[in-house]
Amino acid sequence: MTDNTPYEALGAYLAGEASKEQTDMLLRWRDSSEENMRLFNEMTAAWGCCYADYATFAKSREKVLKKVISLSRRRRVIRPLIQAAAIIGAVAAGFLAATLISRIGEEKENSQIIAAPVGEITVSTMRGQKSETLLPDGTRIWLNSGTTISYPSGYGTDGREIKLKEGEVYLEVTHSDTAPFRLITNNGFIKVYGTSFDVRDYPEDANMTVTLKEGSIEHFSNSGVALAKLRPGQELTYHKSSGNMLLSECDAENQSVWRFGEMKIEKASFMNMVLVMERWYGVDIKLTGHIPSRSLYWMTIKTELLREMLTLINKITPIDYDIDGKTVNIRVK
Amino acid sequence: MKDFNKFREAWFRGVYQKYFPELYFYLRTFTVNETDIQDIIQDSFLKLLENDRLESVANVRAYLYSCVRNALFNKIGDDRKKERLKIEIERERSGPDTEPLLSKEQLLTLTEEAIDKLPPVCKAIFKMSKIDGLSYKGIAERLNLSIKTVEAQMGIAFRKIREYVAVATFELIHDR
Repeated sequence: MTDNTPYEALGAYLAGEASKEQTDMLLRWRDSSEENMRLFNEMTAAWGCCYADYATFAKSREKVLKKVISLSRRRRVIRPLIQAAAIIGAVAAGFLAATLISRIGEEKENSQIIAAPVGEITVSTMRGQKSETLLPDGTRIWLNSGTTISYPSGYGTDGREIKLKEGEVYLEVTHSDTAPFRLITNNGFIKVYGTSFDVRDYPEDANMTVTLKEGSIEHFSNSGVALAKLRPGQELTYHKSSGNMLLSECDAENQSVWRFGEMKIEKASFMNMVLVMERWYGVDIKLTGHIPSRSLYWMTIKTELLREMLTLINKITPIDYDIDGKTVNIRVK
Repeated sequence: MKDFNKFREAWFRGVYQKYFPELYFYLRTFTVNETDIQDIIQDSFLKLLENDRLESVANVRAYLYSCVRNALFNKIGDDRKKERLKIEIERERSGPDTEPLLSKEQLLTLTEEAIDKLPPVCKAIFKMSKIDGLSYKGIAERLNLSIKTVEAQMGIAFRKIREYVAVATFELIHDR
């Protein structure tokens, strides 16, 4: 069977490069059979959705919905209703703040602070734990599971520099025009101008990722060469062995919800999902069986125990599992 | 415009959930600028809601598409894409839409897998066209190739993607 689909014309058409003749020919071909129409629609859809990021799509969907509804409401809704909403909002915010404060109180105990003789302070979390640290200048750092950072004891008086040795941190850096803030990683350093951002650099990951929520940051190589400047809502993926970089749009809030005791997994392969769960629960997961390569997973872990998560996964992808202390054996059926 | 009451809002939410994805991916075939996409969709839905006699908008989908296309036409500065859009506006009716076999998410995964498997030069050309939005001429100059070669490689890319997606679709359907 020969395939007489006019692929060159199709490509040129979608790329906006087709000549008049090519376009006419392509459209005649498209309209000549139902099958051609289907193929045409499918390829157009593929062109539209490739390199679309699900998080960006979902974010746009919610953002536009909110905007349209609020614009439509604003034109006619009477005042008292808005006031009522404001009061409910304030009460809800107060409640949220109260729960957050109590949670941060608990998490403090998870971290170990070691003062090294050279005047360096090290803060680290064990696997499966998270913690939060407040620095003298008001900068806040959240440490995700299995993370180590250090900073000099003179922090704030002679410069602001923090080292991320491994793991993932989220930072809310207090703005200062006089004292620049630098986060030093194993893959260059990041210069900060008063901002909130997330950096993930686990030794077992091939990539380091930097996600910017607000403000502005710049990534430099170890030798001080400027590599990339991020805008809010962007993510920098740095491939450690090759040094290749990719700047893409992302949902910055999602990347750092771990600090509120939540874990969002989006569009992850089975392997990636398992890696995230290992860190979150502080266990080693051994995989056997036929690991699905084509399925993608979305999930949010809040207070679920490991066993509950495994039961949940079993419903999506059938697995056998047993938990033996810190080791979990999963066999995909 | 009528009051934006509870019923109207509920109706609107339903319409929105139904049509947002297809409008979004349709727009992405023309532009990768997220802000433009958001603005165009937002204005189109607002137009729909502002329509005084909503009931008379018989075909919501066609109405939304025409709003989107008009807005897009004013927004994109690229003549090549304008040409393509003109054709689609002219052929508004464009025959019955065939039901897609795959969800957008499945198609997205498969397409990216397929792109990943393309030969290096072919892949680079495809990405330059799609992600960087370069013209064939621009790609040809960068890679020191002829425009004809770029065109042929794009054709190959589409053929390979199509073949990969077709095989995988067949497998997916027969897995169940």
